[in-house]
Amino acid sequence: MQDLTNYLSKNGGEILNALWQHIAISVVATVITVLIALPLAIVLIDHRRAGEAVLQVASVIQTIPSLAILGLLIPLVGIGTIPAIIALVLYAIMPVFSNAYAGLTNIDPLLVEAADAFGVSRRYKLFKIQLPLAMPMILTGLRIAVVMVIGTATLAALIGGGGLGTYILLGIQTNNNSALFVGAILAAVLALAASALIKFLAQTNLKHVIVGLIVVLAVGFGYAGVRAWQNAQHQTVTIAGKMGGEPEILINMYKELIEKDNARVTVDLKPNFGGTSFLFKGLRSGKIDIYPEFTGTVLQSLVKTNQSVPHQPTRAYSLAKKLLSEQYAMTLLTPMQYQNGYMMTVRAADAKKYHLKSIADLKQVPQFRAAFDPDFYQQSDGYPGLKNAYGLTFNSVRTMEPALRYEALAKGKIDVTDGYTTDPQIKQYHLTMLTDTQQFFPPYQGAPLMNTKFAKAHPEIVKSLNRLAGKVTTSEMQEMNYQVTVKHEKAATVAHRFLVTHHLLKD
Amino acid sequence: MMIQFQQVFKKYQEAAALTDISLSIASHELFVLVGPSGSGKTTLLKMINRLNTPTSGKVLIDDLDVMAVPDVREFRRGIGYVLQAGALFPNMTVAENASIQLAAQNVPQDRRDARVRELLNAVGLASDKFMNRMPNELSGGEAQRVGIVRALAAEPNIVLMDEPFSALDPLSRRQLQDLVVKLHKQFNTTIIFVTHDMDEALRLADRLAVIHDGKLQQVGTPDEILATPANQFVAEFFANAGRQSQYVKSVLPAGFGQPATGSALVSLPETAMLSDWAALLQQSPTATVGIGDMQLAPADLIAYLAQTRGVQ
Ligand SMILES: Nc1ncnc2c1ncn2[C@@H]1O[C@H](COP(=O)(O)OP(=O)(O)OP(=O)(O)O)[C@@H](O)[C@H]1O
Ligand SMILES: [Mg+2]
Repeated sequence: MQDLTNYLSKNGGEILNALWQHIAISVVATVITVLIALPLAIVLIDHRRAGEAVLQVASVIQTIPSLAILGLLIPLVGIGTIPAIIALVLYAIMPVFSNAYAGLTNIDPLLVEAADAFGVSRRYKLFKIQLPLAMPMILTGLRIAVVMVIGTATLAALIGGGGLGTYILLGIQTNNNSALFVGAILAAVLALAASALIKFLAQTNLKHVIVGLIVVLAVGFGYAGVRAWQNAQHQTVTIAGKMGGEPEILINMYKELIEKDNARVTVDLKPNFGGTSFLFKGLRSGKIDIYPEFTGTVLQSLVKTNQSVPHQPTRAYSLAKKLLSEQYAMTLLTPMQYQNGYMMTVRAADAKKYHLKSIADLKQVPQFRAAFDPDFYQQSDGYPGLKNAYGLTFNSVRTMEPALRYEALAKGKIDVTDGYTTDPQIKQYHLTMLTDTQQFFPPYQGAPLMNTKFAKAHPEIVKSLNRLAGKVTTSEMQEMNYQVTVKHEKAATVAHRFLVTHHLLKD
Repeated sequence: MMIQFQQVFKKYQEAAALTDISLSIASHELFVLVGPSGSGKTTLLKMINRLNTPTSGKVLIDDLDVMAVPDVREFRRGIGYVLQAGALFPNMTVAENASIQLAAQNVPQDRRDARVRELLNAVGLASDKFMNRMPNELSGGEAQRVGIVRALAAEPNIVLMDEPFSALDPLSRRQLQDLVVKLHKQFNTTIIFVTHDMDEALRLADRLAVIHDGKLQQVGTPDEILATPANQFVAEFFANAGRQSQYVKSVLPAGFGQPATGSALVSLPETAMLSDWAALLQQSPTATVGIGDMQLAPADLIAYLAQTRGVQ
């Protein structure tokens, strides 16, 4: 509880922002859904067979898992808010359409006949008779849809759509229960509030509902218009980061450096934007301008090469830079100093007791119980390769959820495990990293990645970013990650503090 | 407004709902269509305002083919319609319901209200009390009165009523029947009234048409039909009407009378009642009356009444 109030007071502004974003996405998706589904239902009142067909299609779409829809949409419309809204609309059409259609087609035929017999105009019949009589059903559909949209909109965060899902995702990624709680509770409260609001609107008359809707839309579009106008005055650079605390710290440093140097540039940050392939695609399509990438990741999963990955960091960087430029016309700036690669770690007490300094020293302790990340356990550049390179054997070797293995090590359930060099848990649990004397693990050094076209057009931004080249040691990064993911400080605060103490900023 | 059906046929899929209906309804008539359930009354009625169209044949209103009207909505705005059980729009007030045709004709609001008030009062609903009620706040009888107001509001020349009172209790039904007769006199419209209830038909009709299995059985005044049913079906349909044994003509099938000889006869019309005969005998106690080609003596009346008293 203490954690939660702390978290709220520290991040209040941003949470509110995410809440607004969530509402905006949900409202836009719902309005679009209604604008599609309701006219469709009206047009199909007298075409029952076509109506049934639409119903079938809508229900089939609804059975597709939302993640699959998002996946299908990315190649078509990219990432960000738009595919999230499209997915939500696809989802919400079914309840809105089916209820509206049922409502409109199940009106007492005697009343419909009466309307016809009195010779009222088509408009009068629709607005004064059919829609009001179907309104309870229409609103029921709307309520189902809104609750669904607000719930599903949390997935928008997966593809950089923002909203409350960002906190849920962040909570899961960084094991931060406060963030998870905030995201989940707010989404649930929002859904209940929206449902109650619609229930309330159902009791007021149709004219007021329509007027209200128009006002909401006008305010919404007005706000969007003002924002767009403000953006046009400035140049906006979009910088995204992968999931987790470390990329968020890095992109906050980028932002601060760029904005300090270039008064007319606004940096729009998209933290926790998604996985490597999301970001890489986003960069290629121009949706984002810059994101921090690692040399090892470039060589292993982004560029095509039949060379083996060089184990010497500067050679790895040169190769990554060359291949990116050749294959994708992208520029990878000079990396920072720290390595965020695989490492092996043991308890500090054991390291002292058995004199363990490097991975090779593990040969002295075959009685150790080892547990590894499942990927690490299987990949040739993980445990199997390491075993051969150093000739290791352990008493027992098993796989373990990455999130659990540090705690298991700290509690003495296991004696050695793998991890990343900048993991904050190393500090948190007083662990000792063992040096990779043979340079078996591929080097992972972080650097800003951008399209060469962008780099050429913005030499001043490149200059700002290059101030980080060769800076930030592994232990400094570990410390910052510790502050963000364990101590739950804001990434922006931690980034700022680092830049100031290292004289990368003037103040 | 004269309404004519000319050799009208209606088929649903292959089933014949109406067969060769030819029928004329005079202006200002209160005309009743009567027949058992499923006989085709509604089908026929709805052809007048084109809710239904003949498979073949024509429906003419003042010699104009209804299929040829240029604007069907406009055309329908001039025809009143009272449906079974009111069929008021549940989302509108009594006033809104009643003025729906006036609204469709773009009559200004104040004139709509004035007209609706006048009519509400005319059907026995205090307008101040009822104008702003919702339909679910009305009794069945009140709802049906509002239904009648709605049909009359636009001063239509023709009003169609499809079993409007079948769901009401006998007392309200009787009151509303009287109301229809009163309003018919007051507004002088042509009313076509559908019912399956022979008593209702006899009570209301200027003339009535008996329909069965989609075929017209007989058209005439209530007296004509009761006195001289055209066939077995019509006779049986009205068999329990009660009024039937009151006709002079019904004395003949009971076994009385002789072929007319032509001496000293006072001829009575086919639809003469027993009371007419009795009144005549009061004047001239020995008069022999002639009806059709039969004659009846005063003793026949006494014997017939003595006999029917026993069965009634
Ligand atoms: N839309 C339709 N499709 C098929 N058959 C129909 C349709 N409407 C009416 N019918 C048939 O036509 C016949 C006449 O129906 P109609 O409604 O005119 O009877 P009705 O005399 O009004 O009966 P009721 O007194 O029960 O209202 C019935 O046999 C009915 O089943
Ligand atoms: Mg009927």
